Amino acid sequence: MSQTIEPDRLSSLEDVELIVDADAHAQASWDDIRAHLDDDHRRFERFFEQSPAPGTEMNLYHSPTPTYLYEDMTDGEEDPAGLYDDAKLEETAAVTERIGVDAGVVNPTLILNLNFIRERDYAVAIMQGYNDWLVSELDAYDNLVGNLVVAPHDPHRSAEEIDRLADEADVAGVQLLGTALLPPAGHASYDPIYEAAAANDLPISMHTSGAGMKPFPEQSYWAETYAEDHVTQHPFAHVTNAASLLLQGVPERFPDLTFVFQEAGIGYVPYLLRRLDTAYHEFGHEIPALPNPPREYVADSFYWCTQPLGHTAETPRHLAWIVELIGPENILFAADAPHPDFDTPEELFDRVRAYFGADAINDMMGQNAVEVYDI
Amino acid sequence: MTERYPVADATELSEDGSRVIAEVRGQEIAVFRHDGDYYAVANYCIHQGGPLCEGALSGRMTTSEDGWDWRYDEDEKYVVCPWHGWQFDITTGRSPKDERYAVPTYDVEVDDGTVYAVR
Amino acid sequence: MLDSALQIDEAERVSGLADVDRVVDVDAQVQETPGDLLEHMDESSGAHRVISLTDLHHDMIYAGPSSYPLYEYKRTNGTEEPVATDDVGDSIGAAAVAERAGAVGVETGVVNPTLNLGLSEVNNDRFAVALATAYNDWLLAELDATPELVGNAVVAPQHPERAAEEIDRVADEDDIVGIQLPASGVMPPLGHRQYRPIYDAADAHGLPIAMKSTVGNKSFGQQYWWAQSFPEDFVYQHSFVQMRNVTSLLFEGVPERYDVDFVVQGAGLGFVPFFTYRLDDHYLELGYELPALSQLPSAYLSESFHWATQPMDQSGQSLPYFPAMVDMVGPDNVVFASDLPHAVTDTPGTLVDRLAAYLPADDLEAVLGGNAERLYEL
Repeated sequence: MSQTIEPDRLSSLEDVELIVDADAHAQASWDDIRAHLDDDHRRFERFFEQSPAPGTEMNLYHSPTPTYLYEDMTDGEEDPAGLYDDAKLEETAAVTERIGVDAGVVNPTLILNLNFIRERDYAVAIMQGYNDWLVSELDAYDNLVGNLVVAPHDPHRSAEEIDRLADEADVAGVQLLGTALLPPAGHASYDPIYEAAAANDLPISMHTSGAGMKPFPEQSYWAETYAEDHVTQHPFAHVTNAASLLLQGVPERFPDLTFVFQEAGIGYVPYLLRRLDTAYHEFGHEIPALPNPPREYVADSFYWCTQPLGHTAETPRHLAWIVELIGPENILFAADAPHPDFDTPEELFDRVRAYFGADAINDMMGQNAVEVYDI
Repeated sequence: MTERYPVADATELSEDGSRVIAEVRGQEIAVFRHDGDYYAVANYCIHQGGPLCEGALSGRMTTSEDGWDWRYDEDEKYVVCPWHGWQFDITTGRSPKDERYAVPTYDVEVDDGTVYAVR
Repeated sequence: MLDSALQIDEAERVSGLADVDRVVDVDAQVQETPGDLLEHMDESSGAHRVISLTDLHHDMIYAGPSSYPLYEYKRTNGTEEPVATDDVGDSIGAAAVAERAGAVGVETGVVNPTLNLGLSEVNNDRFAVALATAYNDWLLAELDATPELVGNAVVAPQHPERAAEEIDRVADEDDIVGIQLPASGVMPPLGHRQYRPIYDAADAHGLPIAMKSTVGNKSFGQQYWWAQSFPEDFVYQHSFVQMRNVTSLLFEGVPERYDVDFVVQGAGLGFVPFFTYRLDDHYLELGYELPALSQLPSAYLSESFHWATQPMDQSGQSLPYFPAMVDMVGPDNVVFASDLPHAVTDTPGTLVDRLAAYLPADDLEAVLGGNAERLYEL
């Protein structure tokens, strides 16, 4: 078996033009969100002020066991911010710099499980408060931009939200959270969101969450540890949503729309694409919404964030093979700064640098993100 | 050829659980005091290069006889990397989760109130 | 890059199916009917009474959403014509399966059920137990006359103690080489302590446990509920089931405690590499809450888990996806499966076509038969 390693390879991260974290995170607190509630939503202030645990009361975080306890074990002089600690964008910027990343596209942390909330108006209030906080915070950071959150509970109000803030310089896209999205992303009820995003030329990012997903009860209820839940939660949500988007014909109806899948790594993508091939080939009569094979739409409009790559150290070249099976054009490096399961740029770069030319590496490490998010 | 390098005053490491991180020939090494002894471990996690020895010291979760119940062994000899939680036994350098994974360790000498790492 | 990385010299290749020593199919299927099962069921049992009175077995007995045998009648394989040639109500016994398997070059087949792949979704535990026993008796009668076939005994996870007794009952039969623990619809997932009697029994008798997935899955009710079409559900349910169960098995320490081989069937290979990376990653990062394991999850997978090739999934492209997956999983852990008579594309010949240029002859022979021979002691 031979493996040709060609010239025109980058040998060091220093040779990479630009490294972008396509999935960085803001750590807004409830106070931050509450402070930005507008007149329509000021009535929710009382809840945020009086509740000792707003997130808990809204069913936002549940986990079979505590998340990332190793963070709580920390002994260092400077406690790094925990997953839900109030560290706004400061910690994000610091970690971004420390690991050698040049720029980041920011998603929420505290409200990643927004879709868990049953009360529509709370979800909308949080959406509005977070987005206004985000836009004001991003001002202070030259190298960070962000995704507007939408509340799928109210697609029309979400569409208005996109129209309201799309022109802000630091708004790079729309975040339609992928976990507990019911119905899944391809359902016609989300059309207002897709229309608004397309009209404003904003990509749709879908970030998932890792555990305690009450709306998907089996996976959550029977998992005895966070680890057990987390292994499958992220990829399951993306696969469900991607299959739904494609087989319901969303990319056919919204050909200019771009979708970015975040936080499940990329390993599942070759398998997903081939499963879709099989479905299209063998059950074509039930997929009238797609005149062309799913793979074509994926190549045109779907992007996959690399974090977490997983433990690939034992067979590093296999990751390069997976990248080839997806196509480096559709891959976005993500660090997930400052979250506990982040990837350094080396984690991707070291695995692929010998197998792809400089252009492809630069694309994956940052240029694709620049194009997708118009940074 | 090995040489010994001073890394700390013995008074800095008089208590179990204490540690000092020092640079030796361009490499950061941590010396821990544990159970009356000294252990030197590279301050570099083999996972993604994090500052391993800045992490907490922890005991170890094990199972009971029947393999079902959980027990916590309080011997706090595992340093937990602050980046992603990988654990290494400071007395052997090995991961308790998979013995093939290990970080470099170094001998320690104490002489006249000074703690030396040997490398 | 991938193609050149995987291609092997002509001299190392198998030149055709005829070159292969022995082809073993770890997933040939009989199609048992309720009528077949009732004949082997104790007439004085309540299960017999109820099951014999209804025609609507898919809806009322195997009351999961699974329409497993029915989906065959939607498959067109890219043509206008449906591919299924039999009716879902037809009984396809061992003789017919042996013939079809033989026609495509399979020398030995390990037989699984069709209808009873939905056994885990049977709501009434008594029915589930009765159906398992009836199937095993029917199967043994069928296999008597077909030396080319052996079989997995089905057990009902709903009642692990009775499942263990069933394993004890049939384990010494020559024609029983393994257990089929239907993967879809199992709750809680298979690592849970309540299933220990099953693993005890399988370990004691040295029988591998096959876990085959289906679709329309009670275990993933929300995803199933909102799928707007059969293919939408089909895309993900198989691998969801397997990944959920295997995560549970590993993290709850079943392979650490029991010396049992597991054969994962029905979802193909493509999810295995990324799943392995995730499992190992989680184990190393969240190891404080995974005390039952003493090595990486991938080490247990390497030692005790075997992945059936079906479905290979449409390649449709120039990239050697399937050979890459075989290489990544490791040919030692890959076993050929046809899913006959239900699958039409996964014949030994097709497998050879896909792999011959990429897998050395020894490895290809291992995948096509050698691994299964060792695993099932054939």
